Amino acid sequence: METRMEEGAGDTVTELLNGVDFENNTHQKGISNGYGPYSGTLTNGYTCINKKNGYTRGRRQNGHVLASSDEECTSKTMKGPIKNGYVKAASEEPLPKTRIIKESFEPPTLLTAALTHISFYILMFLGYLSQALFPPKVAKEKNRDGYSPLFDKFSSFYSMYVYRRIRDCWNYPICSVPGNEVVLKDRVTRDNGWTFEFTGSKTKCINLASYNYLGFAEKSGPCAEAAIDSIYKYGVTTGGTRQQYGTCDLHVELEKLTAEFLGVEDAITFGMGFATNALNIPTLLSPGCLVISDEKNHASLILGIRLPGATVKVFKHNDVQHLEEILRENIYKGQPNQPKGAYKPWKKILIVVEGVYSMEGTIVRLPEIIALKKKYKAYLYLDEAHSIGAMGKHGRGIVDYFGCDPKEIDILMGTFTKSFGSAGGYIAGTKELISFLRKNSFASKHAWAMAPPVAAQIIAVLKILMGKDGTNEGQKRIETLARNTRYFRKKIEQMGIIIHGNDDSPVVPILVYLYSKIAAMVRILIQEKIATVGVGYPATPLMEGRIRICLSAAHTKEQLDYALQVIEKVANELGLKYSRKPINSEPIEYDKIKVYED
Amino acid sequence: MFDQVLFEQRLNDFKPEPLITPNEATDDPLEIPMVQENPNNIDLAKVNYLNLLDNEEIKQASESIIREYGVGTCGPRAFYGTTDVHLELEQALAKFLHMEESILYSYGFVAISSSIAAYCKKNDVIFIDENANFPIHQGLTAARSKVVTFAHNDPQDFKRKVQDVLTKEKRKTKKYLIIEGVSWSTGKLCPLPEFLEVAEEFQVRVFLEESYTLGVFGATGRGLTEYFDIDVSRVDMIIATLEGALGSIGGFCAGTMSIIEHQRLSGSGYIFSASLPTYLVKVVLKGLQLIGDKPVKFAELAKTFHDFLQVECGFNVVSHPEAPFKLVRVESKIREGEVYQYCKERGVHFIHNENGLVINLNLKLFDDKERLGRVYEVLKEASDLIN
Repeated sequence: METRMEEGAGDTVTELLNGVDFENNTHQKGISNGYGPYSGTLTNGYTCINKKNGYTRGRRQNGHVLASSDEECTSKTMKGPIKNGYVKAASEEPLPKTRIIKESFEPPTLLTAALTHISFYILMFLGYLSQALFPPKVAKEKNRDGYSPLFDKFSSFYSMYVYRRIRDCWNYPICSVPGNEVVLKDRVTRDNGWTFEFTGSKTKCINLASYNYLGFAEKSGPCAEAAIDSIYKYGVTTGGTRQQYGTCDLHVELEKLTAEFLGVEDAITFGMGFATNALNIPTLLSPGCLVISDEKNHASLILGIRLPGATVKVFKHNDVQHLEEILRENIYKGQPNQPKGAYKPWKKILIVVEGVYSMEGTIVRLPEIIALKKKYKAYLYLDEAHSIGAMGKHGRGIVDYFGCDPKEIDILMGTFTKSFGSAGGYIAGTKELISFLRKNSFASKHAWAMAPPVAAQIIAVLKILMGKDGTNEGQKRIETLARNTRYFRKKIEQMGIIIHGNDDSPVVPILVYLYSKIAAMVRILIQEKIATVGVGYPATPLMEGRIRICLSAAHTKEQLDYALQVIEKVANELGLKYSRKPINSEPIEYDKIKVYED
Repeated sequence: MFDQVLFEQRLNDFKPEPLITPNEATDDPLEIPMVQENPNNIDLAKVNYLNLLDNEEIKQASESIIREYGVGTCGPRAFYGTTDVHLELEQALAKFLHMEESILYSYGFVAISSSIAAYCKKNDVIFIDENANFPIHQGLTAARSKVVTFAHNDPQDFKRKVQDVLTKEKRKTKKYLIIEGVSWSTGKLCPLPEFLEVAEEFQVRVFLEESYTLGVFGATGRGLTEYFDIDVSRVDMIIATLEGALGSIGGFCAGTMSIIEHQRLSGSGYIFSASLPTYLVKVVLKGLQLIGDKPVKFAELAKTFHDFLQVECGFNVVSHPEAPFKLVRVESKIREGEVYQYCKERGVHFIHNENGLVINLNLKLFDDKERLGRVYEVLKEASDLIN
């Protein structure tokens, strides 16, 4: 135990957010690339204590991507400096409105890393071997002799000879509501994943996979009834775009309620969450604008950013220091490709981040980013797809979680697919912004309005969350989710399994590293009647294969305990207890877990 | 080198443009609400060609799905967001179109833009119509392919453009043709057989966009391939929204198994989005069952209506006689607005946009002659305004 402590691998980075005051720091310390933020007592007024522990192996900062220590900032420019220890910062005078950020990113051992690589290469090699021996069982195209192939060789090889072998771990069909339990339609493959047959039987599993954070994926109750009523009142769809005859009373009501819930002037809703990002961001940007985007941003954000021809820079995941560096460097340099010596400032700068990152389980460092955006006159786009409803004392997302003022974020975006058990997305902000989008958004113009039952479901959920239904059901669910999250995460950590992300994040990635272990774990868990999601390369870095668990307010303690017990068993069988962190063996009592009191 | 003083000055001088340019104040509403149908108000603005939106059976089927599956699916297709209903629809659509397989997207716009971006890559050459719809353009912008446009619905111009590209290119590139069955912006029909001949001559792959032909063209509503009696294997992929005749939300692509399977790993709007709400999937399944002889009746209505507008009213009808929506253009935009306003005040509602007057036909007019008579009467009166 003591050695573990000493080595301090995979520590928790704890920081107290403080009243952020950038203006006072004006002296510069040796920062090699010259663009680094001023340091000394640190930009954001933190005082940092950097413990450097002995543990010195290869990877910079232990794979931490958390910033806010000048150590980390400078280390980027030094080649692989080795500081594996705690990066701990304690504030001198914490202000009342602060929140402790506890995130953990324990890296694998060198051995695990090597094995992960080797096992992947073996898989690829076997793939090539089997490609040479067995022709693909795919019908040949007709009338297409001599045409150039549709897709490149590697991607078809990868999907047919690598992915195919573990294809059964994804796309599992269900035949029930994705509630705290989900009914899977059993299938078998008799030809190693080329084709599947249904066996006719069904398996009921505990659902640790769906984004049903508040448990509103329900087939009965007030929300389902509201959705059903709207079918008969407004129809299954409105048959038009928002601009042209597709708007109904429900849209108006929903948008008013959403704006009220979020504490901003106005909101606009769209029929699909992905499209909300992909079709609205382009209207805000043009060439000459700079977008600074988190490296782990969702595909829809990346697509939206790419479309309008603006310049895009990417900062390291949740690394506020790196973000600041990029801001400084780019404000200093201005727009690229100017005549020699000429300086042309950017038209505008937009920072794009998410609230909770769905693959990492991390939480955006919002207060610091708000401070940066103010200091450098940038705009901020916050995607709360996974956090709206799920985070914060009142379920109002990350803004609520940190107690920030929603008006300080220029564009608040979120989806109704997750916590609301429905579909679609919203953008909220000032009246001016929303009116602009009503007129100019590609989605308002060219895409169908949100279907009435989808809107009705969301309205019903919002009313519950806001207590407008006359009960405290909403508050209860928000607290249960927070409690389930803390309980489950602590229990898993006690087992010595590596999980990533924030202690309060309902998204829990369990690191299994090896490609083959992803498949093994998903399969065994399904046999044990637990549905989870496996994520591997190319969705994550090669090194970081994981099983992702999404907690829900609908999960009972008994369900969680059963799942935990099974996971521990599987972890022993598959050798998933990679953690070298000290284990806190204090018993965890579900009922005594305090939520939203700190 | 980094100059601290200069930086301070530049930051200080940095005056970013406002996030948005606020709308100019006008009296025009930003959003026009849906029409409440009653004997005095006829809704020809809604896209409801086969009148499936008013079908009670579909509504009941939707209700029973919500009572079994809830509204949303709470996850992407790969992560337990696939229900047996989704799989059933993918099979049904493939069977309906005589294709091997189909893939379902949760939004019509994204079905078009994402599926295109899944194939068309940076160095490929894509031939599109000069009036290609907005989602096609979005897909191609995302793909950053080289785009070559040809004159509207003109296979000969397409041929010239292909030859042009062939003579100039240094090494062989992948080439695709993307065409719309009925153009979204003009309502004109694409001469598919001629296009296919050129495409086959030069080995250009063909994506056919069928949002406004599916369910209305061809005796069983199978779209352009049925209408022109063309073997579906000559088309690489059919893309369509489910928001047209089928009265749901979402979209799909259909083609050979290898083409469609490729999208399940590379169609970004498929992978990175929650799946289509299950009840909306059921709406399409039910719709396919209910199509029957509706396309035949609809074609008759469309042709009669077209003739009425053109012959009786003397309007300039841009769209094809069988197109499910009628596009009428009036020379003066002001007059066009007057016609729109006149009809609206008399309870006949349709769309007025930058393309002209868009009248979305509804099969209800075929069965309800009194209603049709009322529409004719108002349109005739309106036509007197301009003639």
